[in-house]
Amino acid sequence: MIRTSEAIYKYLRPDKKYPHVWCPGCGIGIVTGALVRAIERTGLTKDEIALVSGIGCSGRISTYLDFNTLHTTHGRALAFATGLKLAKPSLTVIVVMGDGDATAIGGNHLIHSCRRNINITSLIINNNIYGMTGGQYSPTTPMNHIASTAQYGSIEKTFDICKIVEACGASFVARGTAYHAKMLDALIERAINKKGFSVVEALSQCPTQYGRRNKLGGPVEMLQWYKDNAIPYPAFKKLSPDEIGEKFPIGVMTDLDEPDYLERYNRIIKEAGSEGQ
Amino acid sequence: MRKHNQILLQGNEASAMGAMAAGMRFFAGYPITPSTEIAEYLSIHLPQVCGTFIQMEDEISSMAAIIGASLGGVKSMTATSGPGFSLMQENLGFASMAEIPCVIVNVMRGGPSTGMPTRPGQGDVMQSRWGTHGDHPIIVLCPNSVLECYTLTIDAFNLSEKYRSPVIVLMDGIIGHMWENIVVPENIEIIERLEPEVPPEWYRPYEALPCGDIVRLAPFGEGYRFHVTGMVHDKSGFPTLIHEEIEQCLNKLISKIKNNLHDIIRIDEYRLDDADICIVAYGSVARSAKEAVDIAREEGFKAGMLRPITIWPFPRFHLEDIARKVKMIIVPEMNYGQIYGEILKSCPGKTLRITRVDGELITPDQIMEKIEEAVL
Amino acid sequence: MNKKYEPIHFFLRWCKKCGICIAFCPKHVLERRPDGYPYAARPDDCILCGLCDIHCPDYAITVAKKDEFREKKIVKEEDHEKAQPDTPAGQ
Repeated sequence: MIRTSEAIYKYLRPDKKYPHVWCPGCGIGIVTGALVRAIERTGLTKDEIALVSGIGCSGRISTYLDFNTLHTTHGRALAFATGLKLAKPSLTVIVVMGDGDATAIGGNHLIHSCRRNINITSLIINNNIYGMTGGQYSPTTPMNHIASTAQYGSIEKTFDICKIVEACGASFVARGTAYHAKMLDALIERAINKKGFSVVEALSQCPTQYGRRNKLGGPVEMLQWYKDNAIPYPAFKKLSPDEIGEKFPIGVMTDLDEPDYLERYNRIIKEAGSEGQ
Repeated sequence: MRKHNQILLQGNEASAMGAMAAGMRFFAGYPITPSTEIAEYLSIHLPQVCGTFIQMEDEISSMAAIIGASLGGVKSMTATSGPGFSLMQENLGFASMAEIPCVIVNVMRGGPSTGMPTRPGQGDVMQSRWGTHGDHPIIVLCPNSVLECYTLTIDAFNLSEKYRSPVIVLMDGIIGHMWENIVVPENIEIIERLEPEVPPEWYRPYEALPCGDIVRLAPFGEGYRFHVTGMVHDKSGFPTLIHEEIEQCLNKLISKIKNNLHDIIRIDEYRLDDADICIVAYGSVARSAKEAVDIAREEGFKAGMLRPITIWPFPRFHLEDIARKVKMIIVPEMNYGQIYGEILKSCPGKTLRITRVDGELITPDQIMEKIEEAVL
Repeated sequence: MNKKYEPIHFFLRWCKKCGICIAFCPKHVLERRPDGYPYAARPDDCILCGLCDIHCPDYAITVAKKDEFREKKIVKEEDHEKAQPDTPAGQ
């Protein structure tokens, strides 16, 4: 097992301010640890990796990690990453987004990146809330839950991010949680190694803005909830609707081998009659 | 008589050809009238040189993608028209702030909103300057012929690389869709992106150098690991809230353009030497204005024309020089007077405007009428 | 150098006292100090599973076998010394 503390000093930028910006008990730190361990497992060098992030709590990851880092505008991380990947295919491009970032303001970019099946790894850190702006409801805030802009409870249905990206054509779809941190780094590693568009949804507790408002307890209780309700995908499929309740599947849900965007684009280059450069 | 190397080109095509001649190898765009021919041309020709053409899901992502590509070390471009240009403002500001070279071609149509997709306008002049929020520098070039669509697009890439800034080529629908015979110029200087002068551990991508040089942008993945953000940043590119660093960051953005006006500003003067009346016109209107100057001269009026080719930063000093010599400045525009307002700032009292916003060209006759009216 | 071997090392200046490590230790090795920081109350019970290590959101815990500490020098205090604030990371 690669321990966070082993990998972390290799990948954190030593001249940044620590402890990091996230609140006590925030899951983003745990997920970042998993990301770093996953990268360590892939054996990629720091120069080979471009880390693109959006705006919000999760957007801060790019500041701390010592890769080629791009902190983009809200929701647009995937669009920046698309340009970067196509311009420099040798880079391993990892995109880190939050739930609001990826599925609200950036929803269009997410579904089209899936459709193109561009060889990018996206890590969507889903904490069910807009944390940095003070706890407004996001597309993944559960119905009837309280947010600073849903004081009477949210009346909107939630997105199932994994189902969306699966339907839109992503090659690799998986879900992990901050509690299942060890599993998460294996999922992220597989996603990075996957050719094509891969998505890992990492459920992550936001005790400050989401947990406290909804009386879900602190970070410990929220992690405990993940522990109690997460069911490995194969077992989850066998559950009856009555058994499901609050339970949700984790693990790999889709793993397809399909030509990625660049492979298909190379066909265009060939057809256009250029002599390879 | 047809010269052997003459070709018949549309303004949009010429712009696309110019971009490829400048070394552009990444285009991301979204279909919109009247700029679509640029994307269509590049979708055929970019793959032939192993370049990338991608049609994105909207203009927001198109703008984002070209910034990403530019960070990958590839010269990149997008093309659009008013409504799409509105969507690009977000990431245009990012490119300005993060100092990423890229070129945006905006073929203006009548606005606001969906406006008149198939009719020309010049309503985006102020948007090209102030469309994105916050104080930011920008360079905007305005061609008035098919040949200039070609040469100014190359120029746009050169300025973009030199000043690490987004550059906008602001055409209007007439210029974009106009066909002319041109001789494609050869041996135009192309500014290539150079590798940083210092090794990675010494690299500060946003350092303000006292000599005025602009730090070269290292591509991602070449050993120069750095941080790019739209937030106010320090010289290494990391977000900062220290007053001195904030000021330095923003001052540097503005001053890199302001200190190089002599290099950035291009103007065209026509029969201005002894003129009493100066017409200030750009884009397609400048073609009518030129004709109007000739007619006016034949009728005995001492008219001349100043055509700002670089409209932002606005060639204020050139204009002020001319204003001292002439009695009257006439500003015909296909909008309600966006550049007219800019000229009023330096030359109040003797500036007249001609506005036309009905989707039709401003004719030489219309300008003549104004000249006669002004003189009487 | 006869210091007693401790399997769990806390780097307290990064710790935000969230309590995750204490709650999820399968052997209940950890407890809170009066000031809220965690400490290993029963270090001999530690099975080196590393759950506290990977669940710490602030990278403030290192779990290692005795020889690992010696040979690999996983926790290098001097690295932490370098990590002093110079840019604020506000919103």
